[in-house]
Amino acid sequence: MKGLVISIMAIALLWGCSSYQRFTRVFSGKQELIYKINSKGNVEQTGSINADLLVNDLLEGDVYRTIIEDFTMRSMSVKVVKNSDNTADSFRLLSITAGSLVFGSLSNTSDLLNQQQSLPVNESAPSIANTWLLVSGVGKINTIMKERLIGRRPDFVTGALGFTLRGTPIPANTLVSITLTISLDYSIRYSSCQLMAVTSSSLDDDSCK
Amino acid sequence: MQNFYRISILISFLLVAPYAYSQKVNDYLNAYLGQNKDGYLQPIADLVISGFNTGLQPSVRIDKRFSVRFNLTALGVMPTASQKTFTATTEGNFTPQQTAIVPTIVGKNETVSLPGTNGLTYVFPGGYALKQLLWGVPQVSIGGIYGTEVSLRLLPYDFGGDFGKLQILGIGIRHDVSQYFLKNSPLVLNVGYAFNKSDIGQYIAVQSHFGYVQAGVSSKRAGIFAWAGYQTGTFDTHYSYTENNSLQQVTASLKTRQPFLGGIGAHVQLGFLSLGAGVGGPTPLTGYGTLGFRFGSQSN
Repeated sequence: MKGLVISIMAIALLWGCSSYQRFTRVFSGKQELIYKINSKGNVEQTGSINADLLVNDLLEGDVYRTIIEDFTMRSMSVKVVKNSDNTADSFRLLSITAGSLVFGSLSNTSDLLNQQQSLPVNESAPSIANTWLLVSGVGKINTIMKERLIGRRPDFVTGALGFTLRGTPIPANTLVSITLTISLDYSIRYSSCQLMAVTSSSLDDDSCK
Repeated sequence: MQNFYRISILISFLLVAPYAYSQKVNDYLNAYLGQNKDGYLQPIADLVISGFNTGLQPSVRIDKRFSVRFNLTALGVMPTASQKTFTATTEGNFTPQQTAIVPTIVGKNETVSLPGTNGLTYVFPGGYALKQLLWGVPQVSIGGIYGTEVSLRLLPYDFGGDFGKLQILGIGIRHDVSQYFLKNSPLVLNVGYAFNKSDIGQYIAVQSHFGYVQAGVSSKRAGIFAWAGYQTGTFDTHYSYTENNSLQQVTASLKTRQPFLGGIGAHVQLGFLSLGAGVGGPTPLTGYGTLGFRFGSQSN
């Protein structure tokens, strides 16, 4: 009797059966570039973000049937935290150059900032830096990351995005001793296979079998 | 058979099989972290709560003599067009802040992108293009107690693993008030109340109350009826979201936005076997069918 009831239930529940279908999803993430600056003169430091870190959070899912479809930068913010030995009033951010990081050096670069920015060192709250950006710089980051990511599985991502930061203390010859953090928010569109009742209108995808 | 049963139940409730590909139910829920999560998940709350409160009455007839009925009710709950989109707001540091009409969890599997300052872009996720949410639930009804029928829906099962326990508890009571003023008439008027408290794995906790009236005509062999009522319900969803390798726990506490629920139904009695079908609505639209077995004193 129990078997009969279970069978009837199962048939009723599965009147439409089910199948794996490919669905597009969006992952929003954040990566930080941290520059430890301690200088009385001009500063030039290069930091990097490994592309595989951007998709690290996708590795928990069905990696074998996950395909990255797009990358877009969503926002940028800058945070300055001063150290106790700092004597500068502010740090003038002259430029940030973004590009592909190959063997420790940047290539295929583009300026990211549309003008120099003076960052007070006594403010610990992050500044939203979206208005500081050049459209071409944002486009460069998107292009580089799309090349690294699109069409790949999350576990087959390689390469890195590099950022060279240049600046100088204000007033001149004072010690700027700060930790400057650049946060990049981004979205990654990807597709993965998920089991659904066929009552979902998406079609079966052979790549999910 | 055990696995078949497991998978059937899971599909019926959350459209997923958590065991395959090591997928977790969490993967279906965690599209949003912030304020947009409520709008994204709201249709599922309305579908589940309205679904729980539809098909409660396999027939309009309450036996005057003691009887026990086992009913299996299978439902298909269909989201309406208005449930497939919601107005979402950009979050985080994206500028300028904007709103957009974007898919809910049952909406189209299409992302929506908004241009922002200096080439930045905000992307809203898509839904799962759900046409129907299917499930079935067994119900035991004891009738013939002074024109009153008491119903129980009980479905406890521990799936273990990621999903956890599925516990459905539904209690209902229905009373034939027409017996006081309609003698020897095929017309029937019932009033009823149903309470539901369910845990759908470790992810969802549902609780609802539903008061209704049911009216129809019935003979020994068949009946048709209409019902309408008012429901309240809560739908608490728990899921996690990983960002920068940091696991964040997210809770969405939702309430049904569809308090009015009504429908029509029909049933036929073939000896101890009964068959029924009906529709409920208006939002979401629900179709259901019932298969019942009646035991007890001869039907009057």
